[in-house]
Amino acid sequence: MTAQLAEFLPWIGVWTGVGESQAGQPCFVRNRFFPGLEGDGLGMQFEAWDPGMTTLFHGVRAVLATAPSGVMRALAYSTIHGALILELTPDDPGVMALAGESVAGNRISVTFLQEEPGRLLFTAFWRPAMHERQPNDGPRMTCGLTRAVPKRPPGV
Amino acid sequence: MTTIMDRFGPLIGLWRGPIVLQDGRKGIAEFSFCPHFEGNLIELVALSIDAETGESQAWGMAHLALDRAGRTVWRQFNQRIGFATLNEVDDDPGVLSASGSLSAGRQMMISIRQDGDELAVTVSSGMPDGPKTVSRMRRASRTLRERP
Amino acid sequence: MTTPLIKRFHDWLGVWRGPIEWSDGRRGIMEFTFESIFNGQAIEVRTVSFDSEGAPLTRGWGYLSLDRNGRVIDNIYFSDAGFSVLHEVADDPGMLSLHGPLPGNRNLDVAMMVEDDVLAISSRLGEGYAASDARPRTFTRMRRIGRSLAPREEAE
Repeated sequence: MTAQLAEFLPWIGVWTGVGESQAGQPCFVRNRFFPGLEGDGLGMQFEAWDPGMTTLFHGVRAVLATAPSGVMRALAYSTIHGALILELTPDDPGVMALAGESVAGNRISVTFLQEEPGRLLFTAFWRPAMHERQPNDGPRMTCGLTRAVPKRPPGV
Repeated sequence: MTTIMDRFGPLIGLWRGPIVLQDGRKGIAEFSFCPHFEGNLIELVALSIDAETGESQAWGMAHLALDRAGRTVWRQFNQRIGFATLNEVDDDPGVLSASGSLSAGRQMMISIRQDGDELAVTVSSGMPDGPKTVSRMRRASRTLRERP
Repeated sequence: MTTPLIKRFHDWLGVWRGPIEWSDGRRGIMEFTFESIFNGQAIEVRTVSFDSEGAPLTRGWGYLSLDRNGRVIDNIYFSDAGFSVLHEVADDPGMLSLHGPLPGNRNLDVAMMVEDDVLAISSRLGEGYAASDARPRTFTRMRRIGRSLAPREEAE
């Protein structure tokens, strides 16, 4: 396991929050980080739902792994973009920044930022292939996530 | 960190190694300990695999939790015995031993000793002096504690 | 409603395990898990192999999905080879044959088939522009462990 991967292990667990999709819709987000590849990778399941949780706006299943060359990438399947391989781009500690292109050529960026223990800021955007010159500061999905901790009823 | 993770956190992950089953068959043991609900419960999935064919020889699972006195309660199911509840019994420091009653006066006893990246497991499910299942495994996964 | 992907591969869903012989002569046990995700839009494939003492040999992860023409895309990570996007190539009915590039002017071809609860996989790493067909192949025949993971309505 690389030191880079070890940095994200404290995120293992379930994270939830209410945010806004790139299209401006309110959405409920549930993201689970879990061990993958027998400890050599970090699995992720991202779900963005309408607030009533009847429609899955976007789902992504992924594993973050290290190539023999030492480069870290996320292998993923997205319900919008299909098959993906995203590069882990260098960033500050506490930041997981992934970027790449879909098979159709859409540009995709996903970032998790640890704001404080138990709180992550999630931002993501995608741009169609024909809009290569559109700046990255266009519409994006943003959501604050907090760690989902089971409630313990008093007296139990 | 929860109390159970504080105690058994180093077990979390995947372990594999040679096993000799109670009935004499040999194979590869695979034990996977995984925390759930933010470390309030540890789930064990255990398998014995034929090293030639890859077929499963024996399998079971267990849930480990702590009772109010802080002692381990081990609830398990396996394909040969079915359900059983085992309660922790005194043993050497660093060893988890638990025992419980089965039908027909039989007793089940499990003992787990972890030493670094080695895990030794002994299981008996008949008469106390009967044959035992014995395995010595090594850590197959990196250490992945839920919240280090 | 069954997706075209699940309609084609519902017999594959589940856990498979069996002996493997690598092209370099190593032997061990290989395990494949095929799991339907996002209501059958894709199939997540997780693999692990270990030697006769249980020591890990390889780990892998992938997503089977269909492109717009109904052909299989398999984006994969394999601990020995790294990341690749494999595309389906024509083969006999019932056979899934995939081919794709790897870093370093290498390529990977994989042929997979399920018949009578046996999953047979043959793969070869090629190198250079004139990769020879005579290179040794890795071969495994796995049997189903337990029951199919296909949801009931998808298996029908």
